[in-house]
Amino acid sequence: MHDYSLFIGSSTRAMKAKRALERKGIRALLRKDLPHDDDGCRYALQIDAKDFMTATMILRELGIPYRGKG
Amino acid sequence: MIYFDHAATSYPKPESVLIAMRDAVVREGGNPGRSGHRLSLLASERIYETREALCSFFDAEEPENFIFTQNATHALNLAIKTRIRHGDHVLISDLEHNAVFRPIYRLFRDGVINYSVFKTSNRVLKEIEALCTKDTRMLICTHVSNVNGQRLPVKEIGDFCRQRGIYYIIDASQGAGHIPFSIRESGADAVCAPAHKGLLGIQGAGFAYLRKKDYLMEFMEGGSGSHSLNPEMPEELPDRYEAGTLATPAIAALGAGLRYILAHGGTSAVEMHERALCRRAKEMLFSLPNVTVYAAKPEGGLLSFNLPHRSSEEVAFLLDKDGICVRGGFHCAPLAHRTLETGEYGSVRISFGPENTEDELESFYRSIKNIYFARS
Repeated sequence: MHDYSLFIGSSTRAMKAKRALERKGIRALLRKDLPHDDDGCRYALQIDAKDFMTATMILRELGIPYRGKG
Repeated sequence: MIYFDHAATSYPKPESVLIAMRDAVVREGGNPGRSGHRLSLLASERIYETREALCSFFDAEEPENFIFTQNATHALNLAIKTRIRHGDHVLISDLEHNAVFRPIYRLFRDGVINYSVFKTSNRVLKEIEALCTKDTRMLICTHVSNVNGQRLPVKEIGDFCRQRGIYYIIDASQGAGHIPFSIRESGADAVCAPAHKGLLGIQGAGFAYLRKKDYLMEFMEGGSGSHSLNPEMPEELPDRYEAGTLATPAIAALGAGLRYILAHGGTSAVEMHERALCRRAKEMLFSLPNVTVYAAKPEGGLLSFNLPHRSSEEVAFLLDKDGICVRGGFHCAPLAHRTLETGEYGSVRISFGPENTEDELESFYRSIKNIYFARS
């Protein structure tokens, strides 16, 4: 459960993504992640691995940049 | 007490607005978009919820395009100054509030822009077209005048601006929450409004809706809670323009205000109610000889007037003694007062809200007659 993370830079985008996923029936847990690379703070949306393809498609449609990690 | 000063700020606030404000402080008291603990995440959620509510309420495209500000003045300064370029010609209406006029005048005074003022008394589009030059890059106008309630044809102006590639900003301070308004249909590139007037929120918040996401000049630099290692402000909205801690209680209250309006018939119901009060107020004032009334046709939710032989501030003072709250003077809108020729003391403004009643208007009428006949 919740074994895949989508990392998003801003809390607003992360909230937007979370709500969009939930509207499509994908449960997503939101937490603050450790600072990464040269950019700094980011948020992690934790989803089930089985929802990975659908979730990333939704984020792309919304134009929300993300990085994924299983 | 009778409150007829909703154009200044709405009062009293609905109970649900006060509850939302309190909950934001007591239950969601973290700093939104900063920490990872539950209080911060709850605050972030509340903020985003209000962005979505605004998007739905104003028929706009993207919640993140709503930039939260301190108030409408902050929002207008942001919308104007992040787009203006040296040599631009700007058009503003002859009804504008100082929140529009002063930043434009400052840019003109500093030699950055030229500006022209278009008349709103008749055939607005013709007036605008006559003033356009090859350098006209921006047009800013109020949706509803805060002095006489006149409504400008914002959709038609939007069509005109779009055809000519003119950046179009609407000051929705007096219309938001009082009349139906679709950002999408207006064609505006930016729409600015405060939380604390017709939207029934509290003071301390407002918004600028920016339709375009292409690269915009910075306005203020500071912490954004995102991309912290980058010395520059993030490029994405809303982070680019939300430096510093947001006013979560005020933004939560704004969300509650929007829900209250929708639960009580929406802006159409508010418009109908306030227009009826305004029409009745006009009749009352015209029943007194030599009273000058400054009101829109058809009526909006507010009007101004002057009694003979008394300054506007004197009338406002005497009404306050009778427990009636109005505003006298120039209403931070010298252009409008010049256009309406209200004279050296400005005017007395009465502005209605959804909870005002005919009975309150009758009490106002009694007071005004007493004031009027005391000097006649």
